[in-house]
Amino acid sequence: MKNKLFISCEEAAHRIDKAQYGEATFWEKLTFKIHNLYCKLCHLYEVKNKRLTSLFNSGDIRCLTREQKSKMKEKLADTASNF
Amino acid sequence: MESPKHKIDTAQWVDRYADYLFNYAISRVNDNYIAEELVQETFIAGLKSMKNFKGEATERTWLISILKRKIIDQYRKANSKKGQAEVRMDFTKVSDNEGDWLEEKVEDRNSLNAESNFENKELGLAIEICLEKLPIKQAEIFKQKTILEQETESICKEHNITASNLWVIIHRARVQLMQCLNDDWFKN
Repeated sequence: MKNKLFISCEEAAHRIDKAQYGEATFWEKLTFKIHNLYCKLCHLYEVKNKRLTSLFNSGDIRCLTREQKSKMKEKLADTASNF
Repeated sequence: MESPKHKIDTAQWVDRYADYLFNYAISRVNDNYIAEELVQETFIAGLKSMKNFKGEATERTWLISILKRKIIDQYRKANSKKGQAEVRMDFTKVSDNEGDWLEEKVEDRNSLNAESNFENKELGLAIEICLEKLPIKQAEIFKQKTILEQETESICKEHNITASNLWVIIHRARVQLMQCLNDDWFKN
């Protein structure tokens, strides 16, 4: 079933997402590209998805790691308990 | 932990607002460590002055107002350490550039990109606001994958989910973010 040339919209969306993270295989890319040829909605989803990725790349956005957040939570809980 | 009218759930603060505050702070102090410290101090100050929160603004706006004061204090602290502003000029040994070296020194290269930098920072905060609207777990996984660029396998292990679960979460997050940014960012 993995090597089906024609895929569902759900599967196409999944592969389009993976492609944004560079994790889609050549076959996966080929199949969603073929799907997009006849499915306007999925084609639009791909366009929007690419746009979102470029927004994230240009948005200079950072976030704290899980460890940093855990430390913050601990300190906050300590302070709260001393109230 | 709660006033009669406004419930504040401090346990959710870090998950909900830490990244937004961190981005806000880093765009102003340009130092990861200081920004992190400022966010921590903001939460503690918020906790201590919770009684002052009247609920007229959102929790995020209220925390930002505290953070702004912390940033100003940080600038003051840095300035008092310096004593006075320093002007450093690098008089290079190459004398071939005579005639245009001063212009090069005076020119603020960053100002050429100031507008786009400002726009990027604004965009970054707009994205953070949209991320805040996602369910906490979904936002966390999305950030790990998209911003921290962690491996799918390690995220799955950490959250005890399968790869297909992860991609479903990523898909839902992306769809919501597209909608949110379409409403909030592109229309402005």
